[in-house]
Amino acid sequence: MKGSVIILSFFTLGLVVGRYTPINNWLIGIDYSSLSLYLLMFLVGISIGSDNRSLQALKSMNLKILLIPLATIIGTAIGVWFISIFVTRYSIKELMAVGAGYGYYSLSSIIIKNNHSDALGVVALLSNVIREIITLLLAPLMAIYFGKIAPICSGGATSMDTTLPIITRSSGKEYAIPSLIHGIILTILVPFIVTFILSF
Amino acid sequence: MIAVVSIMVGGMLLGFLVKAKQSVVSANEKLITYAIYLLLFMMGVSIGSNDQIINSLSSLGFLALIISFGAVAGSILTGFVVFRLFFKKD
Repeated sequence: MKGSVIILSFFTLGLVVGRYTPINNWLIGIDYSSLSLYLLMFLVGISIGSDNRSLQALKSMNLKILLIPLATIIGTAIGVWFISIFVTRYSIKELMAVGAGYGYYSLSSIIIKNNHSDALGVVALLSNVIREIITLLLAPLMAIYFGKIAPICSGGATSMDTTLPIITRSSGKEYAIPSLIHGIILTILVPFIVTFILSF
Repeated sequence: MIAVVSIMVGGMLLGFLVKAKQSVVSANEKLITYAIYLLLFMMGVSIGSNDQIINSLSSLGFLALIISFGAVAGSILTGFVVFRLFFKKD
């Protein structure tokens, strides 16, 4: 939560600077964004590879646990498809790409901005921050009414860090490891699924 | 797509190799945080100077909101199904 507030502050600060200073004109022609995105992906890769929990996740992996990220991916696709019926200005592909951030707002919004457009990047940033906030607020209710897996699926990629505490509290300690594995798998998949969807 | 895959997988292999070096790992985490701050600041700058986006910020925000509702609702439902079919013990 604190992390997303800081990130949104940097974004907002950028908005104000971009709005009231000519800084963007100086940057035109420099393709800093693709390069910096590749750098970020590389760093995120190092972070995942050096995290002991990734290996632990691999070891405790079984078919049943893999059903949880699968449920999140399918459920998100179904939900976003339903929303796309009511949205005329954006195609289903564009909405699906936003949904495939699974709450990982920083990376997904930057990828979408680079591979698609600034406007859709903004939508991805806001939408995935909102996903995290909804999960933080409603995880206890989700666990009561929709079972102990529901908060994990709602949290998406954030179920390994920011929403892990509330998920563990709502669903019980025995769901901490599944939640962690779910988050790690989705975190790894986000860049691939988002780029894949946008490539159509 | 191939570039993205290979860069990330390369990073993961390197991360696996250097994970014993705690200083490298924590420096990397800090670097990620700053990289994200910088990238989102730059994203803000390029959007702030784009009148078209600024003028449609409220409708983009609304779109973001309904996408998240759809994504969360769908995930909760499939999570419910998986829980009932495979996890509930009774």
